[in-house]
Amino acid sequence: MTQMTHEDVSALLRSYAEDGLGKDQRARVQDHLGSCAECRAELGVVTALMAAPARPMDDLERAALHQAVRTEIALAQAPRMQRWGRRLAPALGAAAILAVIAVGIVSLDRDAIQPGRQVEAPAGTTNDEQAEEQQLDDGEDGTTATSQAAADSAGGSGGGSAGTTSSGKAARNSGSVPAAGGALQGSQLDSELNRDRAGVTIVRRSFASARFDPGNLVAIAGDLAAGPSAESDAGSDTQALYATGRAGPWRATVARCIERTVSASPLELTATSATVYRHEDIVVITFVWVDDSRALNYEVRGWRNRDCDRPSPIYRRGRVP
Amino acid sequence: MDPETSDDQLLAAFLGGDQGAFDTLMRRHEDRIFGLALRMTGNRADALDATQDAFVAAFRKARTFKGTSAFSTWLYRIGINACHDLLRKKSKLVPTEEIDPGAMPDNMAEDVGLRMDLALALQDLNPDYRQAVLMHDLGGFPYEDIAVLTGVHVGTVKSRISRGRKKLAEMLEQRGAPAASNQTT
Repeated sequence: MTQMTHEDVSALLRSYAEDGLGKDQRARVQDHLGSCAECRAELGVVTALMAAPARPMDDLERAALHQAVRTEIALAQAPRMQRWGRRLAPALGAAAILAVIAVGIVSLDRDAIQPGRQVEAPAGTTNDEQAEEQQLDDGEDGTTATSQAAADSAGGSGGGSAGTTSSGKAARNSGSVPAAGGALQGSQLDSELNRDRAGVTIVRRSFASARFDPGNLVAIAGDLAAGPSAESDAGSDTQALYATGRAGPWRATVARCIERTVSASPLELTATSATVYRHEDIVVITFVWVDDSRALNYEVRGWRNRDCDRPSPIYRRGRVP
Repeated sequence: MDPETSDDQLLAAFLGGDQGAFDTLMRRHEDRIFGLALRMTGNRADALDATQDAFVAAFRKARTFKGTSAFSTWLYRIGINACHDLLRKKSKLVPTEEIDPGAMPDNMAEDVGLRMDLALALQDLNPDYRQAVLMHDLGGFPYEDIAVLTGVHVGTVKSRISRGRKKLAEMLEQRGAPAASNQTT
């Protein structure tokens, strides 16, 4: 049997380790290894590297990863607030649209600014743009489940804010202070508050402006099992779920998860939008909000078995300046 | 999702506007990238970060993929770079082992100590060697693919791999976790 050189053996080690060599080559490699400590050491490294990792991602980690990837991509494409009037092509459907909405909704309505709160206008926003964005019809089109804070007025002053729900039922009604540059002012403009059956406020929004497709303004309950188009498509079937109430118990679950998270968040999380993702028994929700420096932040949380009473850890988080 | 659709077809679909195709590609490769990241970083949190970074980067760079190597090779290298970038940002990734009841106790390579040592050793390895070793030994990519992707000769790839392994073996032995295998079969 001709001797193999170190180089020859080295080049075959991986195949050898996964038992992919023919009998003859295998024997020759073995023969070399028998008397070569260096090559045995190399083989040891190869074997260690090839060993399976401890535990692959579980379903929650996986779903959170998907959401985070989509969200990060979408947010990076969301316009800066000062350019928020510019049309934005949706990048990945739901997350992008909601992010745009998040930024758009955080528009400044100067009429609704509470006295004493300084609010700065987004640079470059003209009065015309503001006026146009103020045309928010209360139409039939989709609902966006958001945290109450998005619709809260300047809650800091405690009360009497326009647009606040009258019955203050949801825990997070009180004390949710808008985080984004004071821009989350409640106003008649950007919200009409509805109670859904679960007792959580769902903010209903629609836009008359041609810039936003009303068909996309829905809280997305994507279903992994249905395949990619259902997840990333912000459109018809998910809208139908909410419009017709076919979402049934899931809708209540989702609403509860959102409510509990926002009310319990030590950060005074004032999510302006939430993208919901469900598959079998897990729900993954991405919260998107704007911080004081107008960066877009997100957190991905998830629940199993509809157990929204258990606080969810934050699976993924990020910030897009 | 048609399991028969090739990576190249999915990529073309994605570049043509089909967002779902990207989701499919992600699902197809995420375990592999996560496995790579876990091997490199030694802990799940960083591995998930790196995996996320890798797919975001792949999304952004999709248009630059030339097709000279396989898509999976290209993606894998993006994964390695994502780990590398994470490394740099954190200056050093500290593998934190979790006690995992699912781990296979009988497999020596799954030994907690060795996994951590391996991650640390990989982090200390020359980047060129590391890339070659990870792509070939962990990722299973052929020499030719790695050569094309990294722009060097096949011979260079082979020698980088060999030297990288040797260096890793040295480092592992120094840490008291001998990687030298007594197996010859």
